[in-house]
Amino acid sequence: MEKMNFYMLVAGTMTMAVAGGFYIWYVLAQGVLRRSVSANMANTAGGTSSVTMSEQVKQPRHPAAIYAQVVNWVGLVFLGLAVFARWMAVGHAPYSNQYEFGTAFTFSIVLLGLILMRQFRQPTLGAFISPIAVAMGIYVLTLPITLRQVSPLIPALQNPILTIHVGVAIVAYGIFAIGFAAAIMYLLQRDGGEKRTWLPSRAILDDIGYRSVLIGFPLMIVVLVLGGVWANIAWGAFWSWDPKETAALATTLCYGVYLHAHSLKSWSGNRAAWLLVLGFALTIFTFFGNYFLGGLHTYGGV
Amino acid sequence: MATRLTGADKREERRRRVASGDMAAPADSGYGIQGRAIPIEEKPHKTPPAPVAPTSQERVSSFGEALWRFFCSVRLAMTLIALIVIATLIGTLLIQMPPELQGDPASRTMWVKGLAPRFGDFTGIMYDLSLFNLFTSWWFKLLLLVLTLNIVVCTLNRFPKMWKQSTQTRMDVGPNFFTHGEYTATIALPVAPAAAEQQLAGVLKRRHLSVRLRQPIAAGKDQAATGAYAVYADRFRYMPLGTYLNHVGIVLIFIGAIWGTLLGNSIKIVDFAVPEGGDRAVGYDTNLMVHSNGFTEVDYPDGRPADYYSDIVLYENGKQVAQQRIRVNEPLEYKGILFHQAFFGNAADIKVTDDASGALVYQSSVSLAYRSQMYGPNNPMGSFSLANGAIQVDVVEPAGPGDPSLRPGQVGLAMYRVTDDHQLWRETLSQNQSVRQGGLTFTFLRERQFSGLQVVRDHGVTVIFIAVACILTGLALVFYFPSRRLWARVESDAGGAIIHLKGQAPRRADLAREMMRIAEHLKAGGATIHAESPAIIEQRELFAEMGG
Ligand code: HEM
Repeated sequence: MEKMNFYMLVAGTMTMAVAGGFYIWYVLAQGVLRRSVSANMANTAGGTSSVTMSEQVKQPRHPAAIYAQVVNWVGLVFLGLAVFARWMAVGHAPYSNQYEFGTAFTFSIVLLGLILMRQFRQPTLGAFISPIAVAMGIYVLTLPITLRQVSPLIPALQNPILTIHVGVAIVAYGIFAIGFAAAIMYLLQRDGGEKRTWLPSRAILDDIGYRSVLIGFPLMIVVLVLGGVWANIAWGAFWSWDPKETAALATTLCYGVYLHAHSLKSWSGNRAAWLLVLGFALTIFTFFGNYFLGGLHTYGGV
Repeated sequence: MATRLTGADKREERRRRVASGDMAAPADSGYGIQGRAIPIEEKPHKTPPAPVAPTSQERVSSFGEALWRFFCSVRLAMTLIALIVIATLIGTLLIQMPPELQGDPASRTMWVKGLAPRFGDFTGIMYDLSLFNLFTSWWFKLLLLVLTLNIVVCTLNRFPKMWKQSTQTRMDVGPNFFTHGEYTATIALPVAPAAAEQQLAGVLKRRHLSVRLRQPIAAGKDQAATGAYAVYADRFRYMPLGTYLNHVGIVLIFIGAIWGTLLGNSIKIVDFAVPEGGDRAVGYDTNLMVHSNGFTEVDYPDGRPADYYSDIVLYENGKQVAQQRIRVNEPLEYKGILFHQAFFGNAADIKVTDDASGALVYQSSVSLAYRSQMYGPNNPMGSFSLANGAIQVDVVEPAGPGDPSLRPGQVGLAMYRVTDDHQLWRETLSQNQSVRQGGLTFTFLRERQFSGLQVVRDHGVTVIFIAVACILTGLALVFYFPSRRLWARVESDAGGAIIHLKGQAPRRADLAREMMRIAEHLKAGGATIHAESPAIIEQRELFAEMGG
């Protein structure tokens, strides 16, 4: 099972790299395709605020988008199997060290990416999400081999609250990765003048970023609270300014600033997008915090 | 370079201007530019300078007003939260002073001196700025206090308006209302207005909106009104009020934290060590006594701990009231006081007798729960007092099997005069060995283990749980029950009917998709879409391309 977990992780990461390639192909093709569409629109459209709709044109889906999605799903299955195999091998939810946590994080990025791409009908996102997933996969694969060995849980970690705590954190981190991708695309898309045809409009990218926070922010609060509940049971203190929990709080608050910024006219737009970038940077800081922050979270021999 | 704008470009240009707020907000909406429920005050309105010198009372009230406005600002909120983020990040990156040192100036200075090699000349300044005890520093608390004031003032300021907006919506609107806005559509139906209105109401209901107004527009009210209908529908209209629950929850967290540390009769003993077979009183206002029946550690084959627990008996006024095996995740609770298994270690049984009379002066297990620098860098240490506290005796055990100064099974004893911390003597003892000093005989009887407990009573935790419930409920209401409203005007038009639709939603709330779906439903009933605002068209393009 340990071996199977590793091979599935390798396969998943490689598959995601292929999916990323297809997504990028799609984006490149989209540049050409979209340009002709907007030329069409320009011919039919009047200059008024509302546009008269003629017969609705059903655009064919570009084949690269379909290949990319299929390969992405295959990658998801591999990564899902990697998580599952690890679960079976260690006999508990596999998030007790950086290797297990990283595997689950990669899975979560890919899964949530697929869900949001489907919801917003935006395969273009995949070109930005897949590289993040691949980078995370490679990072996990290059971790010291000792972390791959199955070792038993120390007593403090044997608590179902902790399992939920980390599980929810993985979902929150994953969704913030999607928000980050949307923010990068937002910043790449031009504000005025001619918009880049290979990227969705800023309005849609802003919606995706905002949606990621609507999901991730409450989840982060749940993470902090469950951490507090567990600490209260285990150590008798709800909050002790442990470096990793403090980093998680800073991350949450950064998204809190984003929520307020998004509602201010002068702060929505570029500045809000930069807050999403900063928020994800803090997410990564929190994720890697075990290495240099010390405190109660330095478990599992990292 | 002068380029001619195409129609598509103009649309884009207009959308941009609308989104960035260059264009005027619809005056009749009560919503802000992006359809937000609360137009947020961007800049305080500048009061024009008074022509005559203000009286002192006027000056006071305008100062109060300025202060009020200052605390209303969402920008202030963002600034404060950002500052807190920066402070907490510093707190995670810089080493923080262990809490147990904070009360003792001498050991605090020692600790800071130890940092000098790392931070050099900056150490003093950093210490003065409280960077090493950031989370208990006055300026961090001030930040939290100002944030709390900010939330309270902001809430008081906005609540009446929000309440009004949720409870009293303007339902009948004039024809001009439909000519602007981010989400508008014009749809034609080949049936009479009455039938079209019927059809529209059906569609709105199918989309889970509650239709709260269906009414013929009185002829003469405006000239296009003959045979026209006004329709209004909304969904989740009270949900935006969840914002208040959320922010009240945040204030409650601060209250809970203060309650726990200042107001409540809280107990927090972090170093409650009880030797195996020994007793220790909890103190404070309780008459509780903890007795340990033993500490057990179970290891995995590789030597890492698999489980450890203490068997604890609790007595109140000498009567047994509780008994439990406590583990890290299974504390004992009695009357709101929690006994946690926190740490463990060795204890040394020490006996002291008076040489002259032979009387027993002291006999007990000394829990070696602290660290000492006396013999080596990190020796477990405990202490006890003699002569009514004038004399302190430290007991030290080896730091590990390789400790050069103490062999396994040995303990070191050192006696101090408490007034000036002067060391009177120091000895190393093996088991059952004695030493005679100053007319007393000290004997090291045996080694045993102690259970290290943490004893906590914190009423603030209850408040914090309530706060968290408020925050999460508030967020769920605002985020997952997106409030939206829709106005429609059905007019007769060349033998058929024409429907003008307009939607508004705070936080946009997928409104473009909703409007698109409504139009699709009407289209299925024979309607044709005449016009839609760019946001809806964009949705339609996406769905056409990527499948519905
Ligand atoms: C740590 C402190 C704070 C947190 C975690 C926080 C959290 C939030 C969240 C999650 C939202 C989004 C929910 C919603 O839009 O209703 C929000 C909105 C809002 N907050 Fe805060 N908040 C904090 C402090 C403040 C303060 C101090 C103010 C006072 C000015 C404030 C004013 C507002 C306003 C006016 C909105 C509504 C924005 C809109 O119209 O969309 N918040 N806050």
